[in-house]
Parts: sequence; structure tokens; C-alpha cells
Amino acid sequence: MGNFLRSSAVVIIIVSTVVLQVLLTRYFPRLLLDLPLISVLYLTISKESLLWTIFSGTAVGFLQDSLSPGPLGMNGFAKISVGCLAYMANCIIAIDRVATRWGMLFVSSLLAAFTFLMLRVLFLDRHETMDGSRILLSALVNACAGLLLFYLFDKISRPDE
Amino acid sequence: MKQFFKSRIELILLISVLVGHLVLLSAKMGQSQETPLLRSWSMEAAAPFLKRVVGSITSVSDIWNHYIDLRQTDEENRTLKAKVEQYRRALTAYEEKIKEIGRVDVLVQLETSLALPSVRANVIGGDPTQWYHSRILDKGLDSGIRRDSPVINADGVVGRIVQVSRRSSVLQLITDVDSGAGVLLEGSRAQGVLKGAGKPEAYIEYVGSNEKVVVGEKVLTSGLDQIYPKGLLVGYVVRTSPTKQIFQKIEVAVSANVLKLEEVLVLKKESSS
Repeated sequence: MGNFLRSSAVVIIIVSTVVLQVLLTRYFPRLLLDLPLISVLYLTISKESLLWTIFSGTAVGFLQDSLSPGPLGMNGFAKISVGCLAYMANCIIAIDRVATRWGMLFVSSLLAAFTFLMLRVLFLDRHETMDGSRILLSALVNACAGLLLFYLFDKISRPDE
Repeated sequence: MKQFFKSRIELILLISVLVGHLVLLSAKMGQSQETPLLRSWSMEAAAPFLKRVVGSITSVSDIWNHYIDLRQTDEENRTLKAKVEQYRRALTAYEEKIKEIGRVDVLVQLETSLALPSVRANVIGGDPTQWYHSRILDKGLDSGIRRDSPVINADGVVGRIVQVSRRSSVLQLITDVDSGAGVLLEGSRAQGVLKGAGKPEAYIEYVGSNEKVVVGEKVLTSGLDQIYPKGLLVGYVVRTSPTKQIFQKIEVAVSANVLKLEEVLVLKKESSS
């Protein structure tokens, strides 16, 4: 029962980050935050299981793609790949300190952007110029906001610590 | 590799899911006019929730402001101030309603002036990724909206419908990087393709360098793309970059404020799907 409840909570978190992202961009169209990516990374690090990365990356990516004009599969692929790299990094160095978490979020955000753009070039033949400063700024925003959210998620899932 | 994967199944699952995504991606649903069923279900599931949340955000913010104000009031004048606040809230609500009626009125006027049948729709969501310029609308197939239906507002062309489910649809803004529209310049009558750049501005391509384009000139839809009807206002020329190449690049300020969309008019496609 406990496992079921925990799993349900995870599904709710995943869905709500996408819904929250949609609502936030409704009112702030220039928002640089990627809440779904942060939630996938948190699940990857906290669950320490690749299955969670695959599941959450697929679910989040599919939901994002469904509600946007892009083809299905782009965000899912990007999020699973980045989540997988974060999982491997977590196996080598425990990502549980502020600095390592910030670094992981920053690098993951950059990698997610590059993966997405690479897929656009390879599969959609779209060769638009890359807005480097926007990607960098977005990675900074995600890293800082991600730290706060990780802290919040920690408090919710492990209130005793 | 062994240290990363607890079992071979994990590795196989990871590879198959990634390959599955790539297969899905290469299938590019653009070849079909129908929105895939899974996508349609996701949109159906999200739309009612988004609609309710967006609808109640205004009233919630009113209540929140009211609460803050009450906390700041002096104890002795609490009742009186509460009453004043109540009236103020009512006034704010009325003012908001009047503004909304004004916006809707403009759309109604536009609707009646157009020869084409149209549907009014509200924006209930933004883009869930950082990569596209799109909005989620609260109307879909049930209201007669189809894929590629043009979307306008009182200021001009806004975009077109790219995904549609029964009660919601995804609007691709004209400023989206993947957006394209056939346009013509009002003065010179030169024709080109307006492309979005993921910014509030858009660019016209394929206009010959010998064409004389004036800054401030109106940009209208040409109707040649068979999506947007001819003659709709798209924006104004703000900059031209004459080059020695065959085509010049023209920067256009889109007339519709796509960053602050609330209500739009979706023009119905005559028959299509």
C-alpha cells in the first residue's frame, strides 16, 4: 500500500509539473524555467533507479510533446538521455550536496537543450541559429530554482531529515 | 558499464525506450492530418483542468489581495473597511468584466465583419517546453476547429491550429520557429514567406532584392499557402536588409501582441477533414 501511495504521489508530481509549466507560461510566456526537467532529475537522484528515470522521462516528455506543436518523442528522448547521465554521475559521485546538485542541474539543463536542438537538426532538418545566451540563462535559472525545489521535495518526501 | 546498471534488463529497457522515441520522432505526425489518439487523450485530460484553473486564478488573486488588505486594517475600522473592500472588489470585478466585454465586443465585431464562419476561443495554457511559441485553446473539434484553421484577433493574424482534440487545441503562434505563412507587402505587392524566429519579430524571406520595400509598409496574408485567407493584417515592415544576393531579408513587427493573448477568433476551415 505504501509503495502504491508513493508511486501515485510520483505520478501526481510528474503531471503537476507539466500542468504548472503550462499555466506559468500562459501568464509568463518568456519563462526560462523547465519544471518537468527538474522533476525528472529529482526522481533520478532520489530514487537511485534507472527505471524511475525511464518512466518519469517518458511520461513528462510525452505530456510536454502532446501539449506543444512539436513531434512526439523529442522531449522524452532528451529527458531520458539527460536523466540517464545524471543517474550515472550519481553512481560515481553522490549528488547530495548543494554544489554538486547545482552543477548537475546546470549541466543537465545545457545537455537537455543541446539534445533537443540536435534532434531538431537530425530529424526535422531545422538548422536555426542557436540562442546561446538564452540557453545559458535558462540553465542558470533551472539550476537555482532546481536547488530550491530539490530542498522542498526533500522536505516533503523525507520530513525527518 | 556494469556499475551503472543493476541488471541487463535495465540496459535493454533503456535502449528500447530511447529507440522507441526515435521511431516515434521519425514518424513525424505531420504526414497525417489527424491528431494521434494518444496525443488527443493527453490534451483532453489537461484541458478541463487548465480551463478551471485559469478561470479561477483571477478570483483567487482578488481574494488574496482582499485578505492582505484586511490584515493591514485597523481593528476599530475593520467592519467599515471590509465593506469598502467589498465594494472595491465588486468594482474591480466589474471593471475586469467591462474590459472583457470590450475585448469580446471587438472580436464579435470582427466576427461579423468576416465572411468566414469563426469560433471564439480562450487561451488556457502556454507552451510546456521552452522551445516553441504556442498556446492551448479551450475549443476543439466539437466547436468546428480543425487542424490548420487560421487564428486571428482584433490586431491581426495570431497563428494556426496544429493539434486538435475534442475540446481543446494547440495554437502555433506566427512567431514560432516552425511557423510559416504566405504574405504580400501592401505597397509593393511583393510576395514572400513570413517565418517566425522564436522572438516577437518575424522575417519575410524570398522577396527579390530588386523589390522596393518601405519601412512601415503593411504586411498582409497572400492566401497562397491555402491556410490563411488573403488580406489579413500580419504586421508592419520595421527593417530591410538589402543584400547583393537574390533575396532580401525583411524584419516584421507582428501586429498582434502574441505575448498577451487572452481571447482569439479561430476561422473555420470550409471542409477539409
